[in-house]
Amino acid sequence: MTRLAEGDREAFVPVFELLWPALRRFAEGLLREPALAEDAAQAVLIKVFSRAVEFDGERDAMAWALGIAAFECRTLRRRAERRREEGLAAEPTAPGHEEQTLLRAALLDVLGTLRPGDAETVAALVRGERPPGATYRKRLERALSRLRAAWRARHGAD
Amino acid sequence: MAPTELIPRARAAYELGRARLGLQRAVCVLPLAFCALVPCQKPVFVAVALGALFVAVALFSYLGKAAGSAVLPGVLAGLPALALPIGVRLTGHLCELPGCIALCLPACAVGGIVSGAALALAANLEEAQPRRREFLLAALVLASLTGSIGCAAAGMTGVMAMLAGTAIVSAPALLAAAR
Repeated sequence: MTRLAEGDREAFVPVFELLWPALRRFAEGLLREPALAEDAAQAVLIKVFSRAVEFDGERDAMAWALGIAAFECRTLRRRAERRREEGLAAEPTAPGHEEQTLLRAALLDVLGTLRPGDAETVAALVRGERPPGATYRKRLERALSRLRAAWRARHGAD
Repeated sequence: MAPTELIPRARAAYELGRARLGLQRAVCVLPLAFCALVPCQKPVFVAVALGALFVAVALFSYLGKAAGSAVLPGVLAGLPALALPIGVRLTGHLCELPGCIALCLPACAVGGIVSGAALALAANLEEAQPRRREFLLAALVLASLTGSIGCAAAGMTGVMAMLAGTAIVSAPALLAAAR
């Protein structure tokens, strides 16, 4: 993706071959209707390639693409809900194992940008460790708010 | 849709994204048109040089790779060659008067020398040899066009002096890259 961002056209096919299946699976995990998922995956793929020049080589390419995919899928789902299309779930399905892995990678990528204290607080929450007390609650609130801001800055979506 | 049918659409989107980037970058050089307002400046010459610079920036940015990464260093390296002759004129020295190019010509040549040195330094930062050659050539074109806008008032002689300064100083780096 870094090569593609720099204008190396030879990187197009390898990037396409890596992205397309991953985006399709990701969209299928978020949207129940296969046709809608296919539309979403295609729209995301086109968007990712049209924005390839903006890609920052220091970021994780898959996490960046999935950030765009998550935003696009949410937009499509809302649009579909407004139109009351049949077969579209009102709630997103729980992501499958692969989607969970990709989402976890995207989350770890964003966690890496937080201060160590905030990252540790979020990691403790994920592990299920929640010490009682107002101090911890405030610290957790702060850490989650910074995590949301970092996610928005990186992926452009909540 | 099968991926084979999707590939041309994705490729077109990618090329469109690159073209958009090229235009965005090229628009950034348009404020250099204000150089035409400097006393004794030749607006037609400035318009031609600026038009060529606009096209070169858009094209190199669209092509990408070494040419794309040469856009910013190339334009920046050309700025001394643009600023020196303009600075001379802003201090009251009018190059148009017959026999009164004593300061403008050296300013163009010195500006060219500074640009050439900046290009040689920037080329050394490019690691791969074939990439360095492409980078240096693209940056040379951009620096020369940028400098030409400033040297326009001194006429073709001023532009030639600037080009000579740039070429002489950057020649060793260009030769080393060509090997």
